Amino acid sequence: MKPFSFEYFKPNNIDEAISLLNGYGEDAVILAGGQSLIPLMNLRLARPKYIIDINKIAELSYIKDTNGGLSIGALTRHREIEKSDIIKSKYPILSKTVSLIGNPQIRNWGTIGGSISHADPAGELPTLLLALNGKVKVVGNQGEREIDGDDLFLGYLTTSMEKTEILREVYIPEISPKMGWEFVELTKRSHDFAIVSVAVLMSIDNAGKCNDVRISLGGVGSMPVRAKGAEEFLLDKAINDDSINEAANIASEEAEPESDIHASAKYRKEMVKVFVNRGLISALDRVRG
Amino acid sequence: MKEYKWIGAKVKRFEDPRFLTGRGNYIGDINCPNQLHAAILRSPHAHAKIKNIDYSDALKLPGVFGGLTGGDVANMSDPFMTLVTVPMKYYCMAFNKVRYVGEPVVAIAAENRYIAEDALDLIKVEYEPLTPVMDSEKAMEKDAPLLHEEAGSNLCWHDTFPYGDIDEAFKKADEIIKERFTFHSYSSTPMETMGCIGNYNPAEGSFTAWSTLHVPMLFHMALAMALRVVGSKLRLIVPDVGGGFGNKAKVYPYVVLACLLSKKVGRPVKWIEDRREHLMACVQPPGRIAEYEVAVKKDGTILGIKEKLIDNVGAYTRLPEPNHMMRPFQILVGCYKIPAIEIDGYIVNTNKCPSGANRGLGLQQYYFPLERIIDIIAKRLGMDPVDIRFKNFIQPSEFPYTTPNGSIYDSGDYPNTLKKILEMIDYKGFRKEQEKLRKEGIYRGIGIVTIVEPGGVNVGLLSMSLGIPILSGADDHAFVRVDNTGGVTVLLGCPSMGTGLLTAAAQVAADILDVNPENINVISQFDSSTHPWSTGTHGSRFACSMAEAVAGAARIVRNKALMVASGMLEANIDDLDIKEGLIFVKSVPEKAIPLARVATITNFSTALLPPGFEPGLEARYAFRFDKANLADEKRRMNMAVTYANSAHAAIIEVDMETGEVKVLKYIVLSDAGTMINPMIVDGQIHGGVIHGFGGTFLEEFIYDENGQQLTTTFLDYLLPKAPDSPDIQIEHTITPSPFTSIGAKGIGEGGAVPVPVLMANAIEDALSPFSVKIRDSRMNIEKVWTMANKS
Amino acid sequence: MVKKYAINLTVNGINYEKEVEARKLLVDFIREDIGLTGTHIGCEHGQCGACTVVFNGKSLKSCLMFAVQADGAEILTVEGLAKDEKLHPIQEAFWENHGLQCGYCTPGVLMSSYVLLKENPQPSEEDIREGISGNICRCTGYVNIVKAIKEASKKIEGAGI
Repeated sequence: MKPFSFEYFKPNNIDEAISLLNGYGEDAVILAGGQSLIPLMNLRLARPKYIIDINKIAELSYIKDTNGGLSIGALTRHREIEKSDIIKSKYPILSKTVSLIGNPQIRNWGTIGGSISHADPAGELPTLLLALNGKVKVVGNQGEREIDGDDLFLGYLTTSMEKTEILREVYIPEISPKMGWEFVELTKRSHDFAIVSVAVLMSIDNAGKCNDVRISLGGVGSMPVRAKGAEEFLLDKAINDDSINEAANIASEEAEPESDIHASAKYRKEMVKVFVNRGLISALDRVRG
Repeated sequence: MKEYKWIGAKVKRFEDPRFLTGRGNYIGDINCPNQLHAAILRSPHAHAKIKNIDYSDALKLPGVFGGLTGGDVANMSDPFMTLVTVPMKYYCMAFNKVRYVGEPVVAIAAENRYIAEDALDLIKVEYEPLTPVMDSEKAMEKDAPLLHEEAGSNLCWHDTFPYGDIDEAFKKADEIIKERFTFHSYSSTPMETMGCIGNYNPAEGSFTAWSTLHVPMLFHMALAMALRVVGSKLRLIVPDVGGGFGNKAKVYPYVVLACLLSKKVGRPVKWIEDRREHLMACVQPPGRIAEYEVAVKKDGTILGIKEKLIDNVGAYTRLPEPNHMMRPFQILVGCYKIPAIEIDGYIVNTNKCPSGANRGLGLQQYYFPLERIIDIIAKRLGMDPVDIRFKNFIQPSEFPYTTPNGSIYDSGDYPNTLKKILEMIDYKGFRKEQEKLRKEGIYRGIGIVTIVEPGGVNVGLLSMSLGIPILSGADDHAFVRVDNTGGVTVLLGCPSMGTGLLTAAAQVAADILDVNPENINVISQFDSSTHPWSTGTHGSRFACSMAEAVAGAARIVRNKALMVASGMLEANIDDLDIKEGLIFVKSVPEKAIPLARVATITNFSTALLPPGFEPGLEARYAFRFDKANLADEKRRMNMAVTYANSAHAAIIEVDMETGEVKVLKYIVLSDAGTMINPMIVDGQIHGGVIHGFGGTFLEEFIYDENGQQLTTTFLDYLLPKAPDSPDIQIEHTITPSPFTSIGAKGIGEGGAVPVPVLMANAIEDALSPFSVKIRDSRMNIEKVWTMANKS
Repeated sequence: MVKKYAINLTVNGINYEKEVEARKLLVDFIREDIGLTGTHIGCEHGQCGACTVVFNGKSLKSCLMFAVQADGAEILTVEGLAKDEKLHPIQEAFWENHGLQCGYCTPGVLMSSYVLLKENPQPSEEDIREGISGNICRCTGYVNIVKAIKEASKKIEGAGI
């Protein structure tokens, strides 16, 4: 399986990259880690005529813990995120999630920008972005703009980015150390693409009632989604086995997964229940711990 | 038991240093001067007529040198021979009609594979789609779409084999148990795909082909006949094979394709199968339906079994099919003293990738119902499945034991094997633990399976499907030479596919000649023009057949050396011994002569040799297994050389919420007779078990109702990886084979064979509070979850 | 004429200047243009790991990179592990523990092991299985591979590498 021919460019900076992208339009794609793009090209499912390799653009690779949030450059490798001490201590859910991606080779080369803009609903990072209320900063000919995670994913492998825009940075608002969290997924083999994945963040007020909860689901359709009904249910409620079970039921009812050779829609719906349950219990433990 | 120095030792493998340093010589590494590379356009339809092929645009692409269609193939070659009698034309490419998605339609030869694949895009093929049929039972119905018009039916073979008095068995029964089982399709998918290079020499009208065909001589005749040459004009060379497991025997049609394309374009043509081609069009073992009727007495004695077996072999019944059906005839009764068995076998064609050899070749399909039935009988009679096994075992005193269909089991102690493994897994302790945990909502189960593992093949097996079996024999040939420097060269009829036979052969020769195995070169590349005959590397046959051939040749060489030495040292031949390449007089050890010197004498000083003594210190020996008989009028035949046995036991836990199955303990107790290299034996068992594990929990070839393949990459067809693979504990007992001089029994497939049924037994045991009945071989998470949550 | 791109890279300590088509996969480049056939192709879609090499110190599936991207890179392949005919401790450990059978996945497994042991010199069994989770073997069932890597970690510690 050999790829189709293409012309190759390796811009030195973002402006060059954008100018190339604009010049070649629909027929050009950005090459970052290549872990998703190149298999598609080898299978001849993707046949871009122009490849713009952004791996030389060093300024796209950074992890900055700023006031109010975490900024990660699009070219930052999963492995760098996995090993980052600042992320381990302040954003442990991201640490854990990234460690579940693929295998060592994939994590060495795959990038956060690549994973998010690839928008695979079974991918871990798109699912997590939603739970984190994260956003992306994209840059194109018209300049830079921000896209909220909620507005980013449109469908299977589709985002609201323009074809001529490059994802530059992922921004995650600060997570209170008091927040409980968990990221769990069901896979057939460890570290496979998720059949169902769940990201949970939760905090509880002094009265023991939930005052902030985010539950996002992956593998349940053409894009990751927030389980809004389940979240609404839990707000202002005491978090215990009963409320957790009920929330999991609601999340499962809301979910509209599809069937494929790995799992049927019915099974995925049931697994949403199981994993939202597990995610919430674990998050609660962390809140209490 | 004999005392050996090398046989039985955990010798580090001699082939390893070159593999470890990246110096393996695989088909992808071999290049012919002036070669071209082939890419193949494959059918997008499961069933269709080919109306027109136009590849003229492809030929215009710079770097493209020629193409081949089914029409060319039909002109230039003859259809392959098959082991069924219905007319069925099988060529290396689709001719007039395509019968499965992925069937080769056009081949292009170009400067490199990249350009060859570009060329495929420019080929225009007009198809007239036909309705496909995917299910074997539907394919046998009257109005089913017909794959091979000349065959007249998709049921290409049917035969019934009654052994023993089956009617009597059913008359005497206290209970008749009827069950239907299904077994899914998965294969061994070695890490190296298939490949070949075909090179036609117009000056000689001959072909040379390099390929991953690890059973070269089994197919040599078929290939030569297809290519319309005598065998001496087809040279087959097999380099290192990166895992075979039987799958690569399916390269044979591609060998013809590459050879014909080479003939057409006038240059050597190299074709390397890519992974998508491998998953779609290499080999997909048959899905099986097995309907069992079992006659039992209420004390658990099995009196007889009637089996209706239906195999879905895909679009063509190609060599060596219908061997998934016939091969298990080696062990029809398993470990048990069942006096009557009737096999009613059906081979059906459907529009899926054709079947072929795979690790186990029918054994896992056969043992699934047989070992499930033991547990089912136990449940029905309120007995422990372990006791049913003990009740029905062939006893140690009854060996050699002849089964109702003529298999002569050489040796074994099945009760001891089972007893030991029950101790190892603490069966009684587990049952107590199981009860306790159930009360806490934790569901664990235990599975036990006992199997006979046939080694070697009586080629008569291949003719069982042709009505009156006319073939017979389980021979092997080897060549051993001591050269003038004392180095030893061994030529085998078996190519290496990584199972360690090169080292094992060296160990055997080393022991008999008493030379350091490091001075022995067992040639890894097989060449049909120069190497001895053997069917090849398959059927767990090395240790029981090829090793005997090596031993036989080495013994002849040893005796020749001693004869010459006795003359040179003026000593009686019985007074001589060899140690580390030096022949000496036992009573006067200073009187000695090196093996190298003896070799030199036999080559350069032949006048000194005794009269009638054949010059040269080399020998070619054919091991003839005297019990590889011809079938009698009742079609009873001894179809294997040796019969190893093993017991597998596993403790698993089912996650009731997700259907995930965790293997907590996995134990194998293996009796392979004398083990030439125990490290290699264990390695085969490890690999086999994980093959079975993958097949049970992860792997399946899946089609939609239109015959489109849904498992075409490693993202769809999932293989076990290290974090998911359980640790495996192996212990051995040794009951040497009385039929081989070394006492070794062939092994290699036995690890893979019992895993699906073992897991089925264990999971059904875990879920027994929920009255779950497992009759299908798939244990993926959704399936297990569905079973666990049915109630 | 097909457009070619100039690249300059080091493989096993030797510098090469070559011209490549953009689409040529790094694994094909290593095997054909450099002539090192120890790195193998198993799937060409990044799932099996047979093509694993060390690229600027990180393990990489070389079927998931184009050769043209490797300009300026330092690559280590399986042929670069042994020094002057002396096997690397990892290779020795695999040999002693029957950690390979057909040898086809082995170069990729060795390179993943090499990187694993550099990053984690005393890995647990779980670390080892995770460390080679990007490499598929169909022959060994992983049992002896895990044993070999454990042994290799002891050897490397002993040799003070």
